[in-house]
Amino acid sequence: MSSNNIIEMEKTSMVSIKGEIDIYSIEKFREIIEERIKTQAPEIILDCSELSYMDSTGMGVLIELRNKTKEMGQKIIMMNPRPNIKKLLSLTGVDKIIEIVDNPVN
Amino acid sequence: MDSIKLTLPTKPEYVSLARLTIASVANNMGFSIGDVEDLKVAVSEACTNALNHSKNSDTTYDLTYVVENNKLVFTVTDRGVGFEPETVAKPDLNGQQLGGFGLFIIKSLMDRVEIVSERGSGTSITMIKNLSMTHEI
Repeated sequence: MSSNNIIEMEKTSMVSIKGEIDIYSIEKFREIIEERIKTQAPEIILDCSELSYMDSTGMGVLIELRNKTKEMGQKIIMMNPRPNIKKLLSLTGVDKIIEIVDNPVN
Repeated sequence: MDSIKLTLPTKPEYVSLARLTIASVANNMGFSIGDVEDLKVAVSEACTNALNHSKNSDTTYDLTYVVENNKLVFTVTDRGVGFEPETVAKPDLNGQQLGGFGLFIIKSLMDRVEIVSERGSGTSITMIKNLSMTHEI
């Protein structure tokens, strides 16, 4: 799992999440998002176009950070997750509490 | 009926190996792309549970694939602390209870799941996925 293309805008902090998020890469993922949270941007967009795999370990951290950002008035948004990941987000109901957007323009 | 057995160290870096091997076995059997993704998630969740239940990182756990005509039967067996499956709380997205997701996902994606666990001696999760009759080309 790696990240790059960090684009900072006034209101949005965007980070591209690539590869696989599992029990091995989870701490790196957590660090990346926590770093974004520190920018105090109201919106943190995770570009998931190149995220090939994520399981409950990743979703657990996402929910935890979503609850944390909610208290601080920030919002985490997942952009362009692949169908296999979308399926899990829907199955677990995570898609009801974390906004998911499909944006064809990358 | 072919049987494949792997013994993996209880270390996070080898969970991806379980995903790679199940994808290979399932592809050979003719599972659809979607089913292969589901199998990868199920095996990964079971391995993650094995790691979380292990007493230390110097132990190992076993992964067995049994290839049958119309189904894949696979088992993850650890020698960890064990748990009582019926006591696993339902995950609560808005609260602090974020555990239990793995088992919930496994049960949702697989056709059959059997869990045998004993406090102090370990857990064995057997998952079965039937090969769908609709073939993709």
